[in-house]
Amino acid sequence: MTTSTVPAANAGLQDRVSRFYALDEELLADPYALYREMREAQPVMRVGNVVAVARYDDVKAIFRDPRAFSSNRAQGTRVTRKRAGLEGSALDKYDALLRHERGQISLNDMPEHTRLRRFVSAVFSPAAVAGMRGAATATAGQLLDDLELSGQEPFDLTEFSYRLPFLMVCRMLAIPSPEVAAFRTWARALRRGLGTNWENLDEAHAAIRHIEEFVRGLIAERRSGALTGARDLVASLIAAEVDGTRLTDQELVTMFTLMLTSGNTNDMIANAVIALTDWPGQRALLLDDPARMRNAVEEFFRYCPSVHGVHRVAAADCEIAGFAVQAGETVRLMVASANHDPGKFPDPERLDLTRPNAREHVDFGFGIHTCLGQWLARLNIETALTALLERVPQVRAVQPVRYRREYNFRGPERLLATAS
Amino acid sequence: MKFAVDLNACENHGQCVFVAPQLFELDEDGELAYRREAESEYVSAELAPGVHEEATLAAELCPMQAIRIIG
Repeated sequence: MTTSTVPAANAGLQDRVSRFYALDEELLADPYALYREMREAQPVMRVGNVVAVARYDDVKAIFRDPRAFSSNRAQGTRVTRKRAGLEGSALDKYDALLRHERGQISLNDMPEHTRLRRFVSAVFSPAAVAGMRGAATATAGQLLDDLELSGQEPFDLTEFSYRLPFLMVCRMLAIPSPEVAAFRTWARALRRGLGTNWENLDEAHAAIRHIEEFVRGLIAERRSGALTGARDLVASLIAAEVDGTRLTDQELVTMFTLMLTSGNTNDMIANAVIALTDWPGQRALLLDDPARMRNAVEEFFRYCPSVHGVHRVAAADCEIAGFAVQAGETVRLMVASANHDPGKFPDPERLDLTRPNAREHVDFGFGIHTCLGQWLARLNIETALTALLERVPQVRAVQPVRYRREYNFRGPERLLATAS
Repeated sequence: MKFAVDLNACENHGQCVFVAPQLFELDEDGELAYRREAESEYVSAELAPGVHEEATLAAELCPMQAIRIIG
């Protein structure tokens, strides 16, 4: 470190939070320490182009009020100010990415949100997902068969945690032999963009073009009648009607693209293995009684979530816990900080797989936008960890773990593990 | 037609309040108001035909699938 660098401890909290969101590596290494300071000293803070909200009760109150806090993120200062600084092809690419986002259920307000959600509500319902348990268990078993788990050499859990949720989506969409490597590259680019407000414009734009082309192909294949009688999700959503309307091609493309590139489940499996490595007593509890897995998964969502931030836009001038917010400002709900709020979860920095209120975490959001894929995510994580612990009860993450350099989704770049 | 709410499955997300405001309400604590009337399952009275569609939509969209239509 050079002498001109201001030591982190001497700089103000505001400055450190700014640097955290500007991807300062040192601060990104331990987000929870920073979150704690924010909750205690400045629970609502203007930082860069957003207003950041760190406490559980404030985050939840905003989730509950979709009229005051819009999900149409393109209208917020985080997007409008970034957009104002772009020109030429960069602006074109940014706009193309925003156009793509617009069809997402989670970025729409009522009544459009209601309409879009009606098309897919049943498909992702707890009952529908329960019917996929057998397939998830079989897939997890096959993926573990491919790993050399018994030797002394570390094995790569990244593939396992990525492939299980991805292959389950491919199954729903009837994609018989997906090009896993290509999707993974595209997904990584898109997620990096989502996690950094499209800092990687060129890469993300190229990825979205590739993946949209693929998805348009899936749709065209069904429309052409080449797969007559297909009963997969692509075929059924093309045909589905709600109040006499159908999904547009762009809406279909956005929906399937999101499913094929979502990576939060994959992070969660990895983060849970890391947490169990750090808390051997909790692992023992789980091995002792596998029925504890259900609540354990909720505690993993609380303790080591993938999603750290969710955005809303203030619809009118308002106050959040006494802090004045202007209409149009982007509000960042710091869900990972809320999950570690001691006012809601006593002793929050401790992993407690039997925590009675773990389920009240807000990692799936809350309210009308609560994550549609949450049951599938739970199924995948539960199945992955159960299968892994059955085969390798003492699975341990190889330290130190290197996390991706972004602030919105937290998970390791790559996760190596050993059997003992 | 009636509806039933599984109050153990319900997490008070409030989707029903937005799509069926004549039938569902959250109290000042953000809890489904029917919690005051039942422990684990609330069953409604016979519904007027004018709110059948609202009830069906609430059941369809509940993120926890905690609402069931009877009859």
